[in-house]
Amino acid sequence: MTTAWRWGARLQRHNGVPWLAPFLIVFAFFYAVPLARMIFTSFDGVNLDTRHYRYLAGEEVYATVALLTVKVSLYVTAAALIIGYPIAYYLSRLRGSALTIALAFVLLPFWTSVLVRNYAWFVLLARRGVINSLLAGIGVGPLPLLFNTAAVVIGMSYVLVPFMILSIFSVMRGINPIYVKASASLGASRIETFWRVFFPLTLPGVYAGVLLVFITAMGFFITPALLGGGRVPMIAVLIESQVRGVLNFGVGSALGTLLLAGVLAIYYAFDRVLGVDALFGQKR
Amino acid sequence: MMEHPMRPLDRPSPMLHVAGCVGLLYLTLPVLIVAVMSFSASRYLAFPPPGWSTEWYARFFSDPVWTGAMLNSFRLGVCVAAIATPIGSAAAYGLVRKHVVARHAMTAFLLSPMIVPAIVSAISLYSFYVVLGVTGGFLGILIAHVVLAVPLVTISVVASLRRLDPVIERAAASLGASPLRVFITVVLPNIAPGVIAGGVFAFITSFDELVIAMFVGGRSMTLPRKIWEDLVVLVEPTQAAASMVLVLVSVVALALWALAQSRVNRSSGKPSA
Amino acid sequence: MTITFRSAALAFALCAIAVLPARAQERPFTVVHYGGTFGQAMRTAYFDPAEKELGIKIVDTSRTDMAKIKAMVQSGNIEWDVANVNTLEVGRGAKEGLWEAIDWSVIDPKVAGPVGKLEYGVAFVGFSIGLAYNTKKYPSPATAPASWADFWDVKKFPGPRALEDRVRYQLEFALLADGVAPDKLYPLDVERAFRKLDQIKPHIVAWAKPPVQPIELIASGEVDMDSAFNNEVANAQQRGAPVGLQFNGALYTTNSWVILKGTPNKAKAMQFIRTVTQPAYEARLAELTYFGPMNPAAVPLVKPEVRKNLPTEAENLKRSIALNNEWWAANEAALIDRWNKWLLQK
Repeated sequence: MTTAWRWGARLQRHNGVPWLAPFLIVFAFFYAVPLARMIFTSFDGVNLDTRHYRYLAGEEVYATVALLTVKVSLYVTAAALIIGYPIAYYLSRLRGSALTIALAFVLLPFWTSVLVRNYAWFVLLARRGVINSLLAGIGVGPLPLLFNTAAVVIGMSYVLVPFMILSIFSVMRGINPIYVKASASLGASRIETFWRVFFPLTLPGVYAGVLLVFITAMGFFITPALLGGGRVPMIAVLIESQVRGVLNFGVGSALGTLLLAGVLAIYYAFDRVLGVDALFGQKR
Repeated sequence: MMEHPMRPLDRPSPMLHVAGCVGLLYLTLPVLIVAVMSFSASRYLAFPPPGWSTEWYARFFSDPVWTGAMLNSFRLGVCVAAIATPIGSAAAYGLVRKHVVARHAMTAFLLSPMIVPAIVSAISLYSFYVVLGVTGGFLGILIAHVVLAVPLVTISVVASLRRLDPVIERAAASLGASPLRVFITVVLPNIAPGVIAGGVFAFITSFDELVIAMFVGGRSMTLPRKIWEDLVVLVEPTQAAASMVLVLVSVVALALWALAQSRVNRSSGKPSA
Repeated sequence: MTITFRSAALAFALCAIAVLPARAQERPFTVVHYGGTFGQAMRTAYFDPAEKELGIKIVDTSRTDMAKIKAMVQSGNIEWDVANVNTLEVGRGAKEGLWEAIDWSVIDPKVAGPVGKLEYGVAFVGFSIGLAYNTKKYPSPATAPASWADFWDVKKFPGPRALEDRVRYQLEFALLADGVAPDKLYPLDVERAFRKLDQIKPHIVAWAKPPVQPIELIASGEVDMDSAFNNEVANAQQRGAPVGLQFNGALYTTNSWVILKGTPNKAKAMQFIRTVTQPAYEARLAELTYFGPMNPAAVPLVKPEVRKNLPTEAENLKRSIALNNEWWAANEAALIDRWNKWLLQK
């Protein structure tokens, strides 16, 4: 065995390839190839025809679906940011065991199944659910909170807020408090300090969180399917019904390819403009 | 980027505490609600429940379809963790420490499953398997989940690797150890927390995953998939009970990891993160 | 803690051991159905006794999905042996080559009752789908919605409604609401039906997933009325849910057993079908679900108080409208696409 090791060592002393080989092989066969096949199918296989795309472009409804997907994703991202930023800030001010416990609270929904979280929203948003019961107590009529866009936005924001919190928190954690103290000692009000010193320093985390949440929201399936009641056809729901429901692989693949292209384009644009490589830590 | 030690800011004001706790409550409330629903005496979605009952848990644990799905998910998660962890750790080591052609592109490729929407991966694999004449099944989901888990493992291991001074590896190499030996005897023990964390994340990711399991699962039923299919076909608080079982397993996994973490930190004298 | 090569190998070995049994298992005899309380009742009334009588293990699963079946038959990977389908799907599936021919030497065609001897299917239950409403809001039959025209009348009966998320049945309901006489229903005037559906669409709060969600929606108060199967309504009433069913304007339809083409268990499948179409079996199911048995010999075995509520009872049958299987078998595929697009529109 030692001889083999020595022999191998001579060849591979600094070469990274053997370390990456397992991942490359698995990813190539069971990830890249199927994706490539899907794109191929969307162009009608060997025919290289754009008929599926033309079909999608021809029907107004599919443009509606695309717009709805973007619209909902924007709402969700905004909501996640508004809710997540203060929570991240709170976390950044905690220490020791308080921080650990708070982090556990943040991670809990993160690690509990999406189904659990959606099921709960049925109970909360139903016509006679918790929220409407409370509203009835103050005399506000039952609001239609379920099976519509509002329900989907609320449900999805909830699922994705932890991503936002963690992105922003990890950046906040690294901000040297000396900047804040210096700003205060130079006479800036608390609001000024926040907006002109603290907030800009947290922007990398905000950008990363926004990107992550927006991209994930675009491809989301479960929440729109469950909480939408068939009335919130986001693109992932449509893909599912095309592929599993009517077995239309051609159109389904075209939709999948469009979604994939859209997501990659957004990521690339973000990276170009804002440099979000930091999301995954500098790899260089 | 070196992390500098945090000097304490002023303690959070009471108002911030209240706001913060409201936020944390918002995060946990839905899970609490499902927990309450799982003990409801009513067959239909009624909140607050008219009475209490453990009927749904009894149904869950006595129904071989449910327990089978749970065990299958468990088995799947363990296998995914067992396979994705070595692959991801090796890839992390190769990317951080070794010379790699097109390192940036490789990294992007490795991390891309985190960006590609699950539905896209699911349908691409589904039609791929159909063409191959393979029904989905345990192996089908296993491989798909491994692809999903590897980026998480890698990120976790990379974080640990960064904290490790490469000097120690060079020292071992200079003493005649082969690269493989260096990795196993010198690097691994030091990045163990990151590797284990990656393994735990891999397990939980697989255990909770729905979309891919739905498409590619075939006869292999997983717990999330069973809950989903039942939600569509027959809504019963049994799903709430099943969901709580899901939660429990994830929480236990995380707790075990946290325990292992603190033990490792204690033994090596490092302060907990 | 050191991760040695040995422990890693051990983990791998454990994993391999865990994986292997999953692969080595042969697929048990599997029956697929529509789920819901119907599926649960079949477990008690059909599958458990049949397992004892035939001495084989029967796995049941849901939900019957024509697209999935098509994929299975095309790829050759048959996961289900016998399927419970709507009788209209017997014809539809036969056209696409999805079913094995029924071996009528093993079964007496009389068990299929009025549906009779089909080349590819054996009918076994009849049931109705009709207007379901919230009995808390409409406690007396006098004030309750009495027809599909009432469902469409948002002035006289204001409130949120739901309909099923598929095209089947909805076209008939729309045409009935528009005043078409039941005996002039078929062939369906699709354009007129969609125009009528456009009218009610703004008041549809949710597109319910059959078979149980319609009941859930009424029981939880999310909607005041929708359409539901008579067995789900009966089941809900037994559990105290405030759901009522309007037999006027209800559609009567039947379900059949089919055998998937290419299954390795064809002989077992025929034995299974022969077993569960016996009078005692069908009577048991009728008592649990209020579904009408197709086997005429089963009817006298059903308890009298249940019998008078069966949709197949002469009186009830007179008030319902029989679904035209041939029309749907010929047209459903194209309509599904149109319906899905219609759902996407504002």
